[in-house]
Amino acid sequence: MESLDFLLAGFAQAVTPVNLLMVALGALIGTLVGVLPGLGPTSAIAILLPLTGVLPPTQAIIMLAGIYYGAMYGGSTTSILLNIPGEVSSVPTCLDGYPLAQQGRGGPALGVAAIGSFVAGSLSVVGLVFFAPVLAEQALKFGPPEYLALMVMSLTMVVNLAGNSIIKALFMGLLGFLLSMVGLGPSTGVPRLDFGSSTLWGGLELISIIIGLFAITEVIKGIEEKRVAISPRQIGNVYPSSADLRQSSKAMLRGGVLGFFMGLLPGCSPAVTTFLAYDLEKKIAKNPERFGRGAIEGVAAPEAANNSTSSAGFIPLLTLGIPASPPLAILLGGLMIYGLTPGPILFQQNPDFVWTVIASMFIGNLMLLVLNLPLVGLWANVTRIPYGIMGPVILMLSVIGAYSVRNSLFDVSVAIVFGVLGYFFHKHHWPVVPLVLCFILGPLFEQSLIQSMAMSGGNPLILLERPISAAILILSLALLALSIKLKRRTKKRVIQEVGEAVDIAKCTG
Amino acid sequence: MSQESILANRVGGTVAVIIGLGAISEAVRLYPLSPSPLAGDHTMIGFTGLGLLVIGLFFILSSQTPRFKVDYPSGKLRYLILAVVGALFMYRYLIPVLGYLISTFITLFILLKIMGQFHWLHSLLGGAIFTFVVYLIFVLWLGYSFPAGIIGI
Repeated sequence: MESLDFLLAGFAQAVTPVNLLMVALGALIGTLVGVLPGLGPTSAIAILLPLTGVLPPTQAIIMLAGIYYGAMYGGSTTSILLNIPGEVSSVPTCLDGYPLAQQGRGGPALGVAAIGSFVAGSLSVVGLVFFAPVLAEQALKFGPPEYLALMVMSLTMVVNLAGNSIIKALFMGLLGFLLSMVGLGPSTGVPRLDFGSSTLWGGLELISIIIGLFAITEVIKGIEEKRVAISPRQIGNVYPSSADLRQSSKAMLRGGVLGFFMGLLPGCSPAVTTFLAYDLEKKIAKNPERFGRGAIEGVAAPEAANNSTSSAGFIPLLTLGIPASPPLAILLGGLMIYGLTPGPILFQQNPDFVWTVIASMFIGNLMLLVLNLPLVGLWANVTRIPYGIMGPVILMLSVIGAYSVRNSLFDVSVAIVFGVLGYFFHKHHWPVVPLVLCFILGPLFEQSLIQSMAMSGGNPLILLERPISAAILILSLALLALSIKLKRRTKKRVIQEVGEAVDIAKCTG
Repeated sequence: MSQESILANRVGGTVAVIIGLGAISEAVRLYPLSPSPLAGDHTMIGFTGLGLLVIGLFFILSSQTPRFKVDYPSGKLRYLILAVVGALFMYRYLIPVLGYLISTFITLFILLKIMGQFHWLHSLLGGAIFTFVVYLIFVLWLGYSFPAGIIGI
């Protein structure tokens, strides 16, 4: 019941005009970038994170969360109208969405996607309200060894974010750790990895690295792929008929529930759950041969699963500090920039912040529905903006973003260098998300490691001697095995549908 | 697996070994300053360096990595990408000299011209409009402070 009181207080905060404006802006910007081919939630959050620096933390995170789920929804527009899945998680939506668009029923498909996203997103936020505080309460018993075990569990995420080679992901993760250690050492204050330059004493700035690896790299990739503006076909009436809704309502619920519970597992991304939801619908359908030819349930279920997994990802993020997907990893960095370390303490020390953000997610989901249905035509037209305008503007915003965090031109250089490096990483299939994740978690990992070793007199077995840390380590192993199994399954399904291996961890830009 | 792919992995492996050795030497430098053998500023760097060294050796010695072919752009496209990256570096070094606004205008003009292949007049106009919008939003409204350069604007 305490959760409900906090939630009501959160709603009271979330409905202030400024916060409502932030939710609306976030949802709109998110949808816009989700629609634009070549930009996605990860790069959108990366570019806009420093630009929200002028806002108070609550408003900034509300807006960034809006961008996140807005972009998730925006991705479905290009999947359905253009057969371009911005992310792997949107591939199942293409399978039936595009045939529906070809039949002149793109509008209802988009409508069902929006309603499915709303239903599932709201269901997940309800789950978040009840699950998150329970988890956070348990996590209050954590000491340094438990946090260290938790960091180890976060690293199981590397497998999920690994792309096609776990060993390459491990390399990138270790590189991320090493980069996070540039600067003054936490226990002695002695400069490390500074190459004799005092410029590096302040360490490398997360935002510069993220902007380089996601935004600048994405533009270089766009030039190489010769991205052009695309004109979508006629979309028809966007409001689904009652028959469409009847046909898809159960699929929405099934997709939403499946997506939510799978999303609770750290390491289970929307790419995994959307395929599972699509396959489930096909399996239980009376006429499975309709799937792939324009079955409305084939749009509703994966879209619902996509949105509910995205929202459920906030539970491990807010309560344990474990991000389930690349955009959430960037959001974790954003929280830390604002001095809000996700974890049980966040619920204790900043309940106003947490509950306002959660309440704003309810409102954001509603706004997505209300704003997006009438604006579907506009979003479809956005895909016509030439890349020759988009690319330069993204690059200019990237430079502003990199500079503005510390007013440092060195950070701009770092962003450009990582932009170029990101391009080579992309060409040679070295996944960049493990690098970012480990860069973010590096300082926490190091702090927990040093404190745990100091507590135990240098005995690493302390992790196994304490019941909670031992349990977390065992759970990490189980999750690792599950992640590998689900990843293999999704890889197989992607190859079946797309015809080639695609980086499952990839989340466009 | 293609020879090209194996070579790329070996280059990557060599880089990992070099970085790993560098990290281990940094850990050795920091070790005497730390209060205990396993709890200090050297601990994570040492373990990370060791991990990089092992992974690097794996890449150098093994050919068991995923198979794919890497195609780099050639001809005009290669020059275009190099020009865009060059323009970004130029921008970074122009800012302290000419100031943020003039540098932004010049760089955006160049980027619009080479990436969008717009007429130079349209590119100039686009650069001017974007610079003005940036000035309005970031300088006047949000109060960001950018370098003014030698001209002072």
